[in-house]
Amino acid sequence: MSDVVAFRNVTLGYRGNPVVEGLTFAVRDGEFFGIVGANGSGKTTILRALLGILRPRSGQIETAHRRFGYVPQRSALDDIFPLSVREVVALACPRGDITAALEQTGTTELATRLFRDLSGGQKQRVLIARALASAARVLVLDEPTDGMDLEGQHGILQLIGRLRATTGITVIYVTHRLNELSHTADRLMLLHEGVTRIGPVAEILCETTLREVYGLPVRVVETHGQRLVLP
Amino acid sequence: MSQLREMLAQDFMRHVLAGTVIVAALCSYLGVFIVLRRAVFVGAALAQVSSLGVALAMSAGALLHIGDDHTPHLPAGPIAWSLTLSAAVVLAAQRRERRLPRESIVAIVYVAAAALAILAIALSVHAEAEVLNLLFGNVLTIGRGTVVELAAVTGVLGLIHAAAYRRFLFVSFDPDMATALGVRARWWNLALFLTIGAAVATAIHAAGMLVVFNFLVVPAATALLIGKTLRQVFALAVLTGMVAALAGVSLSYVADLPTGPAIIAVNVALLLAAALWRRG
Repeated sequence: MSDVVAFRNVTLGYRGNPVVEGLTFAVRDGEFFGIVGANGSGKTTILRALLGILRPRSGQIETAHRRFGYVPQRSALDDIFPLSVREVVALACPRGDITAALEQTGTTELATRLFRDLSGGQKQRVLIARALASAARVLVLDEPTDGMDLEGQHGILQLIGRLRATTGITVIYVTHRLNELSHTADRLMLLHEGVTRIGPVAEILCETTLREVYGLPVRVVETHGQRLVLP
Repeated sequence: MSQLREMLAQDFMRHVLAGTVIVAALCSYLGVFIVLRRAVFVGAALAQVSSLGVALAMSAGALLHIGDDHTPHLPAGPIAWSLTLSAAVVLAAQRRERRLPRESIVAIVYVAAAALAILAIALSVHAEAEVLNLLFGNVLTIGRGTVVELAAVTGVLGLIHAAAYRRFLFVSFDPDMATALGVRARWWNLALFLTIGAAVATAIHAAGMLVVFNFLVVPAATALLIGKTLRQVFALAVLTGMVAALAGVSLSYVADLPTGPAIIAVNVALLLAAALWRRG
């Protein structure tokens, strides 16, 4: 399996303050890779470097291609823009198959509505449609279910699972909730105060690793084949 | 009506109307980008830097004894253009991780340019009149040459925007996704700012700082209040800007009022009407 993106000994930071140091990892083609950590742990910084927005202070970032389908946090896009759903998708990919992308994400009937008038879950679906229409081979999602109710969270995770099954798209998913990806991710990167652990879910969401990283006694239970971290 | 017919019968007033309408259309269109990007003070700063260019041309001319007693200045255009485009480069380069907030840098550029413009003008023998000209311009001095210049610059900028409209909109709406797809967001932002700088530098000498700033903000705000789609917003901004220009110039001619403030007053009246219509 080839790598779609590889960080080699990468240090990232702003104005002399390192946020992440000596980071080495690779995301494989078709993989569901989760990045988990609290606010300020460096998740967004890694994401910005991955997308080419932030240059590494040292080390190398290698990407197999330069097209990432980025799904930002809902609040990242300004509601002042009176853009329709179709226009939001078309901005990123005027020649892409917008109709097919809207169908794949169940947003066809929203096409003529204003993007800013949609609910949080609908907005995320449209942004995923935009990523699909842009022919990106990697979907990068930044806290896509943040602020959503259970139904919304379930809907987004189901949609991503379905897209992976039908298109084989690689997913890089950032969240601050430890349990969110416990049954969907192939591997996780756990970030906490400069400590980084990368591995399969079972290796990361286990009492030993979590105790090492957080320095706290943590309980992990397994129910219906899903690991749950209990504080 | 007879006064309006009389106004239209005069060559110089037709030039004034044509020039003001071109400034209105150009700045009102670009103003939609400025207001959507929540960067209205970038518009103010660029207009102020541009008027600094005009002021420097006046004072340098006075010091070097170039020009005559009534218009002692060097050619203002090249100085205003180079200063405004330089400021556009600086303001477009502001990034998220800078220690100083972007707004504070915009404000510093604005206040420094305003102070330097007044200091420069203080050297001139006609200081008071020139401060007024700098602020409100003197659209009554727009001649055929200025109209041709404004039309040419508007044509070139129109072609650039026709070709790059989607890119300019994309990097304004979601620069991160644009970068993720390999679009050079920073360069496209710079290109957008340079087109705004070019428009401001061209318009400022004819219309003055406040009138240009007014066209960069008020029509776009009016259009955003009543437009339902982005196409409508662009169309309404240009339309209300042009209506304000025509009505303002006509009002000033009929009632013998200063032209710049009359144009701004009409623009603000249209904005208030739009706000009331939206509430009703």
